[in-house]
Amino acid sequence: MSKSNIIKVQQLSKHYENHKILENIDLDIFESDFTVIMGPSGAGKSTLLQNISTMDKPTSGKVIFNQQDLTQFTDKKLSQFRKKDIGFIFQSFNLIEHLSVLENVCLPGLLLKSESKQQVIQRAKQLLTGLGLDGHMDQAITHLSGGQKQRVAIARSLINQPKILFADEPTGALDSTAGIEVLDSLTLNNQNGQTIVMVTHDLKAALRADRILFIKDGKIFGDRNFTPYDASQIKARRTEIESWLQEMGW
Amino acid sequence: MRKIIKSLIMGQKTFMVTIALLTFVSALTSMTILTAYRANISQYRSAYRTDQLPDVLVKMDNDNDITTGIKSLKNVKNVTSKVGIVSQVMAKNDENVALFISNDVSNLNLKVPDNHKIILSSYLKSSDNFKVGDTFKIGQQQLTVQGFYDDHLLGSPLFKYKQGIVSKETMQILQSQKGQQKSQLAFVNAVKKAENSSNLLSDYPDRLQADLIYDKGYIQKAYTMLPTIVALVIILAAVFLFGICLFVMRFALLSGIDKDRQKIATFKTLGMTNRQVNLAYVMSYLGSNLVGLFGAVVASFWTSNLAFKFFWQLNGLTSAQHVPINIIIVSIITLIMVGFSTIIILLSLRPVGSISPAAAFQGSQSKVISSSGHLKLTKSKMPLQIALAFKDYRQKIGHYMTFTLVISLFVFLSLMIMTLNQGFKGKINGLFGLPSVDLIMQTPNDTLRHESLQKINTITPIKSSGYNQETKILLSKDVIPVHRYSQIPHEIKVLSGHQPKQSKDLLLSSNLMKTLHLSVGQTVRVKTVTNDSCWYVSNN
Repeated sequence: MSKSNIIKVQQLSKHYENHKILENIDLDIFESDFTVIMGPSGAGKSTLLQNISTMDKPTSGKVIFNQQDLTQFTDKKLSQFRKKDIGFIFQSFNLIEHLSVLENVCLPGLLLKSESKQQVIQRAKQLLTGLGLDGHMDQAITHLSGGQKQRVAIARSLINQPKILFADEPTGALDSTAGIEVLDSLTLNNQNGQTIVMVTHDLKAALRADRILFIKDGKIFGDRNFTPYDASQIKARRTEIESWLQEMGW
Repeated sequence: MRKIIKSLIMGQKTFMVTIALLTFVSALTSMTILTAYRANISQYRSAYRTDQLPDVLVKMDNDNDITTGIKSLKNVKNVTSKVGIVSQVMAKNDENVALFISNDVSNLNLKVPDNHKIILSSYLKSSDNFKVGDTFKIGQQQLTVQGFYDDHLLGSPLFKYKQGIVSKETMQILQSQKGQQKSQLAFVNAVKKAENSSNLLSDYPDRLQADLIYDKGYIQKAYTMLPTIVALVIILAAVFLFGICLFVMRFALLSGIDKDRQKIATFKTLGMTNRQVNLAYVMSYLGSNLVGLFGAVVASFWTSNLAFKFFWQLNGLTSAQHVPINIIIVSIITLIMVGFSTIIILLSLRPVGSISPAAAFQGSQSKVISSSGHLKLTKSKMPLQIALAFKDYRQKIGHYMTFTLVISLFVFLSLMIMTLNQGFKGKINGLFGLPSVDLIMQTPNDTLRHESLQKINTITPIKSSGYNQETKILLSKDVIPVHRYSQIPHEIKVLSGHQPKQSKDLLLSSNLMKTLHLSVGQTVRVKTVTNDSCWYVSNN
């Protein structure tokens, strides 16, 4: 059964002053895929993620979602799209320090206003419990470890049941154990049907991907699909991905 | 929204408190002063109506019946007169006070004092430190201060005569003393308000000896001008303070937005619109404003009464009534402050719109948006040193501007007070509409004075005249008039020594000093008609 695309990128270019970061990118993001974007530093990975997630506006090109070009959206329509249809996970967590764990997770739900406050709190508690943070709900963000913070960020990104989850180096600021916990959470969500687009330079994170896009010099240099992640096949998967990445010049 | 506001302003608590405090102080000052000022004017007007003060007050120093003479004039509705004596009294602060002493208590709602006692205008209590039980001499008669009363007419600090009330018997004793000049005050009401009060007396036969010491316009100004000047200075200070508040607000917003760039971008990635972020800032900063304003409204219930009492004392009165809060003044000040704050906040929120959600990505914001404090060396056409100096200036000006503005406020107010002080020096009568003194004569001879006035009047009409009581003393073969002033007129310049401070100090003209071969500090023997004593030359 062929997958349906959730986002279609057409001829997307991004320039800063006279510097070309992305050049005529054409790309489809498929529903329920765990897509990983990799590439050397400065290749344009994060810029691509920012442009297809509407965090930044491309210099030219289209980003089609639900047959609508997101690059033409007004501030109000974009904010509605960000609240309702996407979730975002940052390398540096970007949690609001003056709010508690539960308040941070509830924030996008309260901004969307599609459910009552009680319903939002209920779901936030479910998400936090599912991520192993049930004992930390009323804690201040500053009292959490890096891994716990990133799991709070995952809960926050999922509170409005987004169609796509974007993640920018989610394990970049974490130690190995915490990184694996976060990746396990993402993998679990993907296995439940959540579309994920993740930028990483971490091979362990890339192992979770169904598909890897390799960006080089602002262009898609390689695009390859893999079998869905299976922890018992991890060694063979690592070898396969490593050899492909080496082909790409990793 | 409450939580978003909390997260946006948590790092700016000091600024929020500063804004609330500055708003509180400036709003409180302006509400207090304007409420008290309005109350001062309205209470003065009601007091004026209650006491039925006259349109014009004339002082005459002769024995003629002034009531009949003035009443026959056209435009004069009615005249009442009061007889007394004018005498100088040394106050505790070593200044002479000109007292008009009378036993007439009509229109004063006052009990006649006991014999050898005097009830003084309340102004003397506050300004000259007189208190009940004090004694002083009028000629040879010792008088004891029995009490004080509020006097709308002769109690103001701007009038040259303050009133004292004695019993009929005491008055007779004072009048019988040798050398005491009888004075009369005529309280004149006009048929219609004269444009120029001196015109009212233009046909009065004894006009040349009449000293016009008051008219209706004068007392209105006298009762409102001092509070007006004080209120104006304080209001300007309040405006300046609110200007500082607006500056702090703008600086806090701009620096806060710059500092919270990543946080704002994160809010945007979570789905907040520019409008929602702006609303959070507007609510938090206006909230600070409103806290200050609310505090000011509550505190002004108390401070307005204090300020009014202060104004009332400036007027020379003590029995100030309670002042209710003035809803109109409070509403207008609140609207103005909230309006200006909103404008400044909205203008300062412009950078919010330019923050891309991409700024939420750590390290990428400089690529997306260059904040106002960042230096674009690649694009700058300025030489590097100038560019760096300009950046340094921009960074530091914000830190020191508040301090600079506060210092400027004090310098500004000090200069204003000094300017006002210089501007009003010696011009009070002119400012208030009373005739200024064009000519000063010195003569011990009343007939000669009268003839001189008539001669001058044929050349140029005299609006008003009067004379100070003077003592004649004999120095060698010359008769020298000795002037007693409550304050040394500013036209007399002190060349050496000092102004008379002790009761036996004497200020002599430099010509007389040369004639008599005297120097500062020497003792001269002074023989008057009633006295023979030694005086010390204190000045030249």
